[in-house]
Amino acid sequence: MQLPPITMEDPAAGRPLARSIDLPRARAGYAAYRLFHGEEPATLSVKDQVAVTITERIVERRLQPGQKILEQSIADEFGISKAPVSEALMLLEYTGLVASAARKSAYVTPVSAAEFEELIEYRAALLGVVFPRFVERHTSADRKVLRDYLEHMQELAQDDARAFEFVEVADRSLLYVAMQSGNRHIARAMSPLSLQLLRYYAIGVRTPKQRRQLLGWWADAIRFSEARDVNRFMALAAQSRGAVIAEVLAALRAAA
Amino acid sequence: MTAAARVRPQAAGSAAETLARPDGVAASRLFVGRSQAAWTLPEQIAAEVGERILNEQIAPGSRIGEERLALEFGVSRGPVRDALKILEQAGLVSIASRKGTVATPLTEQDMREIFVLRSGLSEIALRGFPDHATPENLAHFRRHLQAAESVAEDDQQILFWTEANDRLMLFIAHHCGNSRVAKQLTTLSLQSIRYVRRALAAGLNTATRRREVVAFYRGLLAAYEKRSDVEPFVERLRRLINERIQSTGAALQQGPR
Repeated sequence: MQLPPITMEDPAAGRPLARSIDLPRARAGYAAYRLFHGEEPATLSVKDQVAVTITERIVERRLQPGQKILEQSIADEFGISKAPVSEALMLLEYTGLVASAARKSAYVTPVSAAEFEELIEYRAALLGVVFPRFVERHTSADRKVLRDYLEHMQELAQDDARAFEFVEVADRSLLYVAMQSGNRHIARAMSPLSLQLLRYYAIGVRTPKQRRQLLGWWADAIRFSEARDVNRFMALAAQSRGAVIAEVLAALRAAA
Repeated sequence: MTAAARVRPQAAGSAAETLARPDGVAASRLFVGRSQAAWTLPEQIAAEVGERILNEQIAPGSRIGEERLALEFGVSRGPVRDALKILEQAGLVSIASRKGTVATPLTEQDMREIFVLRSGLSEIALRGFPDHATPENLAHFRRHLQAAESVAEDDQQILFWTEANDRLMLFIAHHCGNSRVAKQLTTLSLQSIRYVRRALAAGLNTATRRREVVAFYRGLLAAYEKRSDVEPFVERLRRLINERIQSTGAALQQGPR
């Protein structure tokens, strides 16, 4: 019996952003933390070190969206052979930061409004599974972790130069919640997604006012968790998501 | 995370093994939309080894030796290693640096995690499809549905039924406007096939159940054609998947037959 094949729609060709955007400095270790699913290994293989470095360059836009990544020039820069570089690029392909046309050189995946909306919708679906469980089943120790993150965000919020660190910690809180869900499939999907989204958050959440608003939401989220109030937690998540989407899209339009 | 008890191995000569099997189940999900002519050497090996894992020709948890595969396919170990990486990414094998590579074990917890996530992502797919419900896509939908219906009444064709049913859902996923959701649902489909087949072998897929699923898709198609509300179908799908989790869990606990 012949079954119809699985076919695919042409991926929506989003309008790429050409202009470079300055980013405040980043916090050490954020890329490794996500590449290796929440474990920050003490030692990294050469391949993994290359992967971390390229990831940082992509997220921080030292490598531009759409830009080619030449294996040989990276190998030369690190004084290594091409093999670990191409393995590192394969790992990054799985994270969605790098793509390669068949047998051609790798390039940094473009960023676009359409891409961002797709990423956010996907993550909302993952979090939609994770959040209710977290609110119902988390412990006071979990809340303490989230409060520590929140405190750290408060320290960073006033300083424009540390805006990237701020969104990174905010994003870590979400990763923490996802990891606590006990669903390894979701936890595994969240980390690479987070790296892709950081590229966008870093340009969206740029003013102290925006950051203060995020702080308020996180504080509320912790309170609703403590009250085991799933409905209010989910409503808050939807509201804050909507606001962040609007901010990022506005920033993308302004940059285009 | 607590480690769930491993599911006991399937006894040889079980009912599912004597049934006719659709071809290329692994490949159709590993390389969606790509013609076979364009597969690289590692991809061809991944397609074959993936199929063996789905058939439990390679049992869950059993070791997969690089060298033996290299010998069998007449290639060096490089392409075999790359093939295993493709399968690792797809969740069909687990590579541990010291212990070597094994076919990912089946556990009840893993099954639950897969289906819970499938449920959440399928909602996005169902809600996204109307924006892409062109006459052409609706015609494709009908073709997939007809393929499923044509085997729904025949217990001997049950493996074709699950495949057709799954492909219909994946068709919706790949036309919902979100390529990430589509990709993840495709991988989850691949990971769930061994569980679904266990449930089949335990006789837990009845004609009544299949009719219910056909009715669901018919209703969904009508809703898409009339551009009416899909929310009732989102709700129904959630229920169908929940039932599936319950019945598959029961099948896994039954163990060897």
